[in-house]
This record gives sequence, structure tokens and C-alpha cells, in this order.
Amino acid sequence: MQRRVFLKSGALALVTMGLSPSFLERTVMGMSLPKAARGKTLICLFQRGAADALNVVVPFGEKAYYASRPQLAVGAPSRGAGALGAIDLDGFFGLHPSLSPFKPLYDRGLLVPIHAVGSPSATRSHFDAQDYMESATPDRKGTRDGWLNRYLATKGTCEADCSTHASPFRAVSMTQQTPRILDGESPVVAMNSLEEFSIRSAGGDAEARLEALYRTGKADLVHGSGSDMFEAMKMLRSANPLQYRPSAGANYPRSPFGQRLQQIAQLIKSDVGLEVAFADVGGWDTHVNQGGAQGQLANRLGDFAQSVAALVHDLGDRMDDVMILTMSEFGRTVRQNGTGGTDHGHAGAMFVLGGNLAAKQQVLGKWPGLEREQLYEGRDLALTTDFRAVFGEVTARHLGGNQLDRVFPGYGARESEWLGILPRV
Amino acid sequence: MHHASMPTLLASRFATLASAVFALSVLPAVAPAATILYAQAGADAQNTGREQTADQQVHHALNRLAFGPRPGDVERVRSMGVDTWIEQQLNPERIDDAKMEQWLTRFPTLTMSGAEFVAKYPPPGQQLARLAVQQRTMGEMRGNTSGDTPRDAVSVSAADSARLRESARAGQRASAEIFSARVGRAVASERQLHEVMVDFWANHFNVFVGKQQARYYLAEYEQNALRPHALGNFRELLGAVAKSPAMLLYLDQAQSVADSGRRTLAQPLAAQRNNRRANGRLSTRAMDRTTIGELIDRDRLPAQQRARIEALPAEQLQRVRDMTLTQAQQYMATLVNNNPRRPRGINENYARELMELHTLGVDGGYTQQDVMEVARALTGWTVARGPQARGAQARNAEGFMFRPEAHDAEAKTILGQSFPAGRGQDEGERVLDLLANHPSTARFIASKLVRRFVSDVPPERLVERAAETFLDTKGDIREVMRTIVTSDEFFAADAYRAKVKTPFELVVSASRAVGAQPDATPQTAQLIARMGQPIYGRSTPDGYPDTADEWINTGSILNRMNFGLVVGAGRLPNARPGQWPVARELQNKTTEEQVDGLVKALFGGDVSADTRAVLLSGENPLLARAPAGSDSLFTARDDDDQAMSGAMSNAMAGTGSVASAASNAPAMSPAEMRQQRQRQRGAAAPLPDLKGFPKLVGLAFGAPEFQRR
Repeated sequence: MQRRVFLKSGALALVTMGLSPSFLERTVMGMSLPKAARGKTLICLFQRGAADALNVVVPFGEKAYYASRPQLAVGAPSRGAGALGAIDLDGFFGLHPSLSPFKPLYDRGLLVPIHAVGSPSATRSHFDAQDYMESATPDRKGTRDGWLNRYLATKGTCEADCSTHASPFRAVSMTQQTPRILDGESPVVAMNSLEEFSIRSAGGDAEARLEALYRTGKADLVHGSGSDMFEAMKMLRSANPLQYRPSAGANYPRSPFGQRLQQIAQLIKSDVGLEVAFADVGGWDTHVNQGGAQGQLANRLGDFAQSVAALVHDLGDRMDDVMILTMSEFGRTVRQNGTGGTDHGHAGAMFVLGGNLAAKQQVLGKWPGLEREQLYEGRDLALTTDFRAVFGEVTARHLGGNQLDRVFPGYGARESEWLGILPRV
Repeated sequence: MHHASMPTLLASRFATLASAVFALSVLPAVAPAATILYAQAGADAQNTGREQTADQQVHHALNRLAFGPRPGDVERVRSMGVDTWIEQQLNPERIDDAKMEQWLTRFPTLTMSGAEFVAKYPPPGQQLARLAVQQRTMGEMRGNTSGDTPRDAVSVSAADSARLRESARAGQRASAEIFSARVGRAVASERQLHEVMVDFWANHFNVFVGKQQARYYLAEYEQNALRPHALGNFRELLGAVAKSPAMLLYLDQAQSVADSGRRTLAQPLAAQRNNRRANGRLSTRAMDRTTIGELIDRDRLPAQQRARIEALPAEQLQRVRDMTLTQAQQYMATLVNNNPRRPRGINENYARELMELHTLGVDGGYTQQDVMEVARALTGWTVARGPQARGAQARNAEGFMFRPEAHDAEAKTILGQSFPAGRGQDEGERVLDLLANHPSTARFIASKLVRRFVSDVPPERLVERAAETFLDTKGDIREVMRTIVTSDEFFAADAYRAKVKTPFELVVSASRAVGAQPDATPQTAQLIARMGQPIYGRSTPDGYPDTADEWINTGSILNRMNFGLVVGAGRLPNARPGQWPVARELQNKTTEEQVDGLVKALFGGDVSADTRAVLLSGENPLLARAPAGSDSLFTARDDDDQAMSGAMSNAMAGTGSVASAASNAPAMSPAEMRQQRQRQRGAAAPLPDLKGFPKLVGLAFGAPEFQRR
């Protein structure tokens, strides 16, 4: 039986440390908040299904791009008004027109794209590639935990003072189930929405009784998760994140993805100690009728960009302590396929957003080119940046993680491969 | 896991004795007596290695081979003997299920073919197209042929769009019948193991309701592909799935055609005649012993092939001259695939998942080259639509159609085996033969079954034995299941309550536990969806996970506790507490009698002392020892009604992710989304303050023990 180990907030902790974890007493009694409250936050957003990087960050300076995609290519930035061409970034790359909310962020130095980045694994399976991106151990399937959880586990908050407990909302996934990237020994809260996080009985002692059923000192998965849940629920009530409305100018789409990002902002604003947040969004597996400047992919990108831009506007100054990292398991074939779409490819693109970026107004990553001999296996965008170089730099320079050899086993720090996204600490 | 049970030796001796006695006293009516006695005797010989007590075995079997016991089931199985009951369940065709069949007749959708479904509930796009044609005809009649509007432009009036919406809703209601029927059968069918297997295969061969038009074909998918073969032959199941429109559409196979430039069967007659003439007396086999150079020199190559080879650059031509025909074709295929100029027609999606998820498993020993070759072999496997559909059905493969002109007719090599050119549909059948009987497939299917029926960490030796059975019987699923569920590993102490219920299993087992009638409304299915497992709602082809750590987290455990309260409040659809014998019996008893009665009915009397104590007094011995000042844990009550009433509100987790993942999903109108949200809120409204027996019921169904099976 594989079991999560419940550190600090699990049932084991109750047995060994008495009943009420100190953070709970403090929050319930309205005393000072946990230490991590005003620390750094990393928000990881996963585009599941392999987003077509070449139509997200468009290499309009490449002839081969247009040759390979007669129906799908996004046109070069057009001088004419109203035409739907790429949005010029640096004279070679442009954003898909649906990503227009990103352009002002790029201009202000709050957003940088990274191109030709991804997994060194040759797999073109969604499931494997997502697994590798989330475990950060490409081609090693045995890894049980995700790299974000390994970061959380290796940088516990217990090193200095064990009476200071980590917030149960240190790691939150706005998903039905804990995603692979957050699987592991460090506790994680997974939920679809903040509203659903309560017991449904009106009055009476059903809630207390249920709590008692789960807090029996047993440390198996079911009991442990139940204990975690009750702690988290009480803290959330006391912090009441739903009181925070979006700031002016932050217009979240009403899509599930937009709503989840809004709730991540609410958690950040309510200072519950959120350090790592995760959300995902599907619909990127565009084998059929992908569209070009308009169409299926354009619609997905519109929702994506509006949601992320709203989050940045909503957080305002707090972006100084927040980074947003977007990722997708791999890119797609350079050539369009026979059904107006693209098939599974290799390297992809990411966006990094933050108020404290060192790299500004540029597209990061070495561009490998799209001529036939430059392609991976003769068909896909080649890889020039290992995703672990990005994850590692963000983990170290933003979150202050210092055990990269444990977070990225078999890879480690490799500072020489970092892209210089963030200033040296 | 520790259980208060008698020592193992004693337990197993008791089990042997008990089953022997019952074998003589109770003969079930469904099978010939001789079979039963034989099965019983065989089982007795194996019983000695079983660690579970006789009572545990009964509960265990009912929780694994069925969706949990209904009132009376435990007694019934105990009296006939657990092995006899297992033998019955392995032969569902001998079990009378007339009541269930009668109940299902209320769902006309279930027996509709996809073509009928589409005809009755045309997709919005099709209706728009019809509208466009009408408008054009009208325009032409009025002499308006100016052509300043695009040919396919449609203007949609308010009345049109209302009609479109209503028809979309009707289509959705019809789809919902499929979900209700699945849940209803799981709740009330006598053929419980068959239903568990349908659930297993529907998940193994996952299709997604939101993918294009796949939803129209779900009824026939389940009816024609999954149900007939759920305990049958794996190769037949695989073939039925491969030809089902639902799968052909879901994994894009229906759209995969031969790359342009490949020889297809479109020109078969002329080309084959040419081939024969060119080959002279050389058979294909003989040609494969001869080099291309010789064939060219002796003028034995078809002109078309010769032209293509001679068009190669000198260096490549020199290499090809030394190859056999098959080698040359492969070599040229790789050249073709690496040529960026060539528009591609094949779509690898189904070919890849066929090997990775349906048969060999991801480590089953295939390469990217194999994926491409399988995709080529399956080109032409597609869905007949419109006027073609009726003809295709007449050929006894609902909606499936092989299009020779789309089939890549050149030779292939798959998993090291060569597939000669020009075999058409038969080539795809041979690929399925190869995959279905592959040792990697035997292992992969065996390990998934053992994970489902025994433990999240499948015992290695049992997986080996099940895989052996798979190979020995050429994929007889019933025999593989027999190996698994009569094994000592299945009845090991470790295996007891080791599996965590999925949301589907949780809701269905609760319905069964309270003796609920099957629910003809969509409500029970919606409840399951809100807990994260919408039926046919998993967008990725891997299906839902089958291990505890994927289903249990702080959010889901909360949903499960809330679900327990729903049961306690009598809100489980079609479960009237008054009709539950246990409730009737315990209604006026003391609390202690009620607790013991519930624990016996739901858990066979087997719960931890802590659980019993909490149910009885609300006090948890461990918490009671805690220092003063810890009251906050129990008294913290939310003043904010909002936080309460929103419980599970946005949930519809499944639906949320379905909507977001469904790039091609039929769009819901804002009004429909609002309605759906209201429905969800209604389902999530706070429950009344539960007191007395209903509260005990709520707690018991929300307890840790009920999350396991």
C-alpha cells in the first residue's frame, strides 16, 4: 500500500503534538498569520493536450513556417488596420492575435515567452509527456511524486522553528483531483472552487461528528485526508477569501479557467499562506480543424490570455512576489496534417509572468529554425531549452529552493543552462 | 490493515466447513447442480490459502464483484456459499434479469443506432446547414443571385435559434438516458459482475461524450461493443471497439486517410492488373527474395513503382537497388514521412492509443515507427454517414465502413512482422490479432484487472498467473477473471477493504445499501458527475484512475462526507428511508441498537472501536483526551451563510473540466449554463439539521469505512 505521509497537519501530528495545530489557534483567535503569508507565490498553469507553440508564439520571420502550414499559419504582423496577423514582439516572433491581452504585459516587462522549450524525452504520448513535465524526470516513469511537491517537501517550514506550522493552503490545486505535479508527501489542497469547501449540514453537530470519525489517530490515506480537510476548512472560514472582489480592470472570463484564476487571486489576497498554486485547462489537442488567426485554437487562446491577464491586473503590486508559469506537455508538428490540424510534436513554448523579471521585452530561448534539417526527427520543432532549466531557475531564484538536486533528481541545478529569467539572488 | 478476527487457521477451516455444508444444503436454481458441486469442490481445495474469514469473504466478494450488497444479499451469498455465487456471476447469461430488462424499456435511446440518433436529434451544425440550403433555395426562387453573400452564410431568426436550442436540449436529454441506464443497471441488475466489467471496459476503452459527434454513438457503443464482450473474448471486444463509430470519432481514426502519393485501393483493379502483368510469374514472395536492382533490370516492377524509385537521388537509388521490395517500400515510406512538402493524411491518434492504452501498454515494446505503420494499416477504417450508414449497418457493423480509396495499400512492418501490400481491411484485422494476442497485452490487461479487483499494488504473482490464463485461453476474459477472483490473493487479509471506492462505486453502493430502486431520472448520474466522475466524461483516453491516491484528497473527502449527509437526509434519488428494511426495523430502537444495526447492515459489524464510539456518543476517545481549549475544533461554526450554501456549487467538477476540455463539445447556451448552475446549486443547498437516526445514517455513509470496498 502506498500512502502519503502526513507531515505536520496530518493525523500523525495530532497523536504526537496534541490536538490543535498552532496555526489554527492563531487564525481562529484572530492572531497573527502564519509566517509564509507574505512570502513568494508560484502559480503554475498547465495547458493539457499539447498547445501548438508555433501558432502561440508565431515565428513569422520563418519562410518554412508558412510553407509547412498553408491553411493554419498566422500571417505576419500587418500594417493594415483590422487584419488578423501576429502581434509583433521583436521583428521575428509575434503573439497569436488572440493573445492581445499579453502584449501590454510584454511591453511593461511583466511577461516573457520562452520558445523551443520542453522535455528532452522523445515521447509523443500526452500521458507520458504530461507525466514527465509534472514529475520533471523525463523518461523515468518510476517517479511517484511531482516536482512542485518535492520542492515543498525539501523546503519545509520546520527547519528553524517547528512550532510554526505550514499553512494548509501552502499548496492549492484548483482541480478536482491532486495533479501529478503536486503529488507527494507534502500536503496539498485540491478543490474546484472555494465555495464548495464546507460541510453541507445546517446546524447541529453532524460536522463535529464527522470530524471525530476521521480524527481517530489512524494515518491511512482516508483518515489522513479527512483530518487535513477539517483543518483547512476552518482556516478558510476565518480568512474568508471570497470577500475580495477583483480589482478594477481585472475582467475574468466566466469560463471555468477564468473563475479558478480569480479564486487563486482571492487566496493570495486573503494571506492564507499560499506558496504554490496550480490550475489546468484543456482543449489544446487540435488534430482537426485547428484554425489559424481565428478558429478553434484562437478561441482557446482568447480565454487563456484574458484569464491570465485578469489575474495579473487583479494582483497589482502583489505581482512583485508572484510568478506565473505556463506550460504544455509538448508542441505540435510543424506541418499541418490531413485534417486541418496538427499532430503530436516535440518542443513547445512557455510564458513566464512576474513583477520581478530580469528578462524583459524579449523572447527567451535559442531558436533552432524550421528548415527541414533543423527539425527534430524531420518533423518537429527541436528542443533548445530543457524544461528543468526553467523550473530550476524559478524554484531557486523565486521560491528560494536550495535543494535542486532533490527537486530535480538526475539533473540538479545546472545554473549554466538557466535563461536569466530572474535577477540573481 | 488489522481486523479483530479469529486466527487465520481457524478462520479458513471454518470457511471450508461452512461452504461444504452450504454446498449440500442450497442448490441455486440458475445452474445445473453438477456444475455447482464441481465448482464448490474445486473451490474448497483452494480455500485453505484464504486469509479472510468466511464473513469477510462474503462482504469482500459483494464489494468487488458487485457494487456492494443490497439488503439481504449478504445472507443470500452466505447461504449459497461464496464460491457458488462467484460462479453464478461469472456466467451472467444464466442469471435471470428480466426485471432489469423491463425497467430499461423506458429508455428508447438505448437501442438506437448512431445513425438513428443523428436523424432524430440532428446536430446543430447539420440543422444550420439545412437552414442555409433552405435560405439559398428561397433566395434563388426570388431571383436573388447577386452573390454578395457567401454561399454558406445563414441568417438565424429568433424563432430558428429557439428551435435549435430546444432540439439541442432534446438531444441532451436523450444522451442522459444512457447515463441513467448505466447507473440504474449498476444499482439493480442481478448480473452484477457483468455490470462491474462493463464499467471496467468502458473505462479501459474510454470515449468522451464531448468529442465531436461521439455522443450520438454512445448507446450503440455500450450496447454493441462493450456489453456483449465484457466477459467474452478480448480480441472480439477489441475488434468491436475498433469498429465502433464512438471510438473511430473519439480518437480521430475516422478522419485518417492514406498520405497522398501512397498507393491506395482506389485504383485497385487497374493497378493490380498492371502488377500481375509486370510481375509475370513472380509471386510476391519471390519478389521479396529478389533485389530491386534485379527487378528493375528484368523489367519486373510496375511502371509506377519503378518511376518513383528511379526518381530518387543517385545515392539513395544505389541503396534501394540492394533492397528487397518490402525493404524498399519501408525505406521510401520514411523518406516520404520526412518530406515536409508532402501533405499528410494519416492521423496517428488512434494507432498510438490502441497500443499504449488498449493493448500493449506504454512499455509494451513498440516504437514511433510502429505507431505510424499501424496508423497506415488502419487507414480507410471510418464511419459511414448519411445515406451510406444504412448500408453499413446491414453489414452488421453499426456505422463502420472500410473505404478502400482511403486505405494505404502499400506494405508495412509492424512489431517486426511484415504485412504485404494490398490486403485492405484484412490487414487491420491482422494488426488487431497481433496486438490482442501479444504477451505485453496479456500482462497489461491482467495487471489492470488485478488492480481493479484486488489491490492498488497488484500482487506480482497473481498478475503473472492471470496473464498466463489470458495467453492460454487466447484472451478469454471470463477465465482470466476466474483466475483472479478465486485466488488466495483475492481473499488475502491485505486485500480486505484495501480499495477506495470511486465516486461511481460510492454512489451506487450507497443506493444498493439502502435498497434504492433504479433512478430513471438523470439525478443519480449527476450526483456521480459532481463528485468528479461523470459517465463518459473523461476527456483523455486513459480513462479514470483506479488507485486510492488519485481519488482521495482534502477536496474529495469533503464531497464524500457531504454525500453521506445527503443519504442521511433521505435525498438520495429513489431511496425512500421508509422502504429501507433496516430503517424500518431500527426506527424505534435505542441509539445503541441503531448504531449496532447500522454497523451490521453496512459493514458486516466490522468497524473500528473509534468509529463505533463516535457514532454512539459523538465523542472520539482520542480527541476527548485532548487538553482544554481545543473546543474550537468542534464548535467552529461559520457565520457566513454564503460559504455554506455554496458547498459543492461550482463543483460539477466533471462538467467543469468536460466543458473546458471539450474543444469540440457542443456549446451550451448561456441560458443553459445558468440553468445548469442553478441545478447544481439546488443539489448543493445546505441540508437540514440532521437528528436521531437520519444523522446516524449520514455519519455512517460519510464514515471512512464506507469509502472503502
